[in-house]
Amino acid sequence: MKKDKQLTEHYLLPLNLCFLSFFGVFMFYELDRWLMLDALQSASFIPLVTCGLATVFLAGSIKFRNPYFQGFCVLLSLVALIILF
Amino acid sequence: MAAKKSKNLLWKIHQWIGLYVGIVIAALSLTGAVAVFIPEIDAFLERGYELKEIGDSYAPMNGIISQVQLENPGFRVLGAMPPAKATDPLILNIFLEAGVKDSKRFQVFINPYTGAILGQKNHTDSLSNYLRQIHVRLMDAWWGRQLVGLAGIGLFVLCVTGLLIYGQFMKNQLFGAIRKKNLRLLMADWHKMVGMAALLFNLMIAGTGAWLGLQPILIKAFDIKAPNTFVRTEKISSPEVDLDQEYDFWKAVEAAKAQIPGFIPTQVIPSKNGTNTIEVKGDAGHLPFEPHISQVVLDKTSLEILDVYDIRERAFSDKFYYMQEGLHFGRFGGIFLKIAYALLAITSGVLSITGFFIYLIRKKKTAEEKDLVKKTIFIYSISTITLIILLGLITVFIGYAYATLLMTPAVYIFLFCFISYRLFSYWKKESLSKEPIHEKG
Repeated sequence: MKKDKQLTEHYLLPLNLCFLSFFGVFMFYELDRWLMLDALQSASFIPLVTCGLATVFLAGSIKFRNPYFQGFCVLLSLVALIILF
Repeated sequence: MAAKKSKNLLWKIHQWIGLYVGIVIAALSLTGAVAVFIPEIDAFLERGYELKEIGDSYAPMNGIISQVQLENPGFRVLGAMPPAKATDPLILNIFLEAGVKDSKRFQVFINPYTGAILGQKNHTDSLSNYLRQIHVRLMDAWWGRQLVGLAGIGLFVLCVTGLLIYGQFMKNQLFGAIRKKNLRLLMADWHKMVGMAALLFNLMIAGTGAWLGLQPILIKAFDIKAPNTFVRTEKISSPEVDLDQEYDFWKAVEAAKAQIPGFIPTQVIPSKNGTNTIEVKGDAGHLPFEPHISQVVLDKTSLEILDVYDIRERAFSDKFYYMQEGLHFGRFGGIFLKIAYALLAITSGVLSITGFFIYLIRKKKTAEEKDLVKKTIFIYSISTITLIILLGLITVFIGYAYATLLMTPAVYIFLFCFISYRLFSYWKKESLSKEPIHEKG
């Protein structure tokens, strides 16, 4: 296996999968908050959109194994984390 | 060479900890996945107490308490749970102190508009209490909780060592590729993929679980103080007078709501030690903190605000302290988050079973030996699930005290026999290896 492919398969992809589990759970939480809080004290839209976008890209990273796309997803996850916290 | 040695060591740590902690992790995984839904289970079982008609004003609390005490002599009121919505009943928690076997905790459901008692439930023998007790302390008061804490540490070490040896086991394999050549490879591939997918979640569950399990010991050892411990210093009356002191429950709840934005009161606890206070505890904002952690303390007579604790306004250290239970049980979210939590909770059980399978089958050559491994795994899994269901049935239909009386000695006898057997096997192996070769012949 080539070095870049090994790097993608053994490190970037598992890392993206970890990010996917985190953003997936966070997205469910944000969805729940939207459903639970009443209109007067509704939650901000930004975390939900951020989580949703990150989840979609990270879910795509399981199918598309291109090293550049995997690297992009890692960076995107880091940016999403900064926005969320 | 040194790198290979350290990887072998990591693999050995992963293997041995997995073998010894795996069965506890599997049981905790299963019970944890169900325990996430405790509020939903309670709501379903208590659906009969939902009010059909709502009134204009609430009945006075003092009359309600007197009636409850009249119908349950000897019980003392621990606190009350105000209705979250208009059709919810008011719930009074009452307790009878009568030794280990006969102590009882009941929940009395009351129509808050008329003061009529709708019914009562034995909380000690309830399904929700069973799920909590088996997950938190394996139904044993002190040692069970420590075992759960140690299993949390074990799971944490397993996650870290698993991550470190992961690359070595992948070699030229593509991520997510499941080989179906034989059952061992199939299980090994699922073990790696599920382990990586749920790594972050399992690390969080392990860390928070270890803290929650070992909390009593750690708090004592490191002199850690719980952040939210407001206590009125002066005693206003004697405990007897304090216990009988009348107060306006509904006004206290409204006063507390006004102090914290978005506050949902979940518990009202009157003082019994002469401090003449009411603690209104609750949640705010659906944030990942321990339930009932924000609180307003009022004077019982004048309803003067004595202390306000809004977790959202507190320092990071307070938030971190109270985040452990919130994150661990996932009850801060709604049904979507709980389903996600339950699915992820099952992964540690799947990892235990697949890991155990990989270990047992690795040196088995013949089809008979492999079949025996499959049977062993099946029997272990079914026995664990049957035991959990059986204990649940005993708790609900006979009593929690009887279930613990059965469970606690059984666990200790099993542990004693297992450790003795392992020590004997080790001693026998050691003494055989010391024998000179010519004597063996």
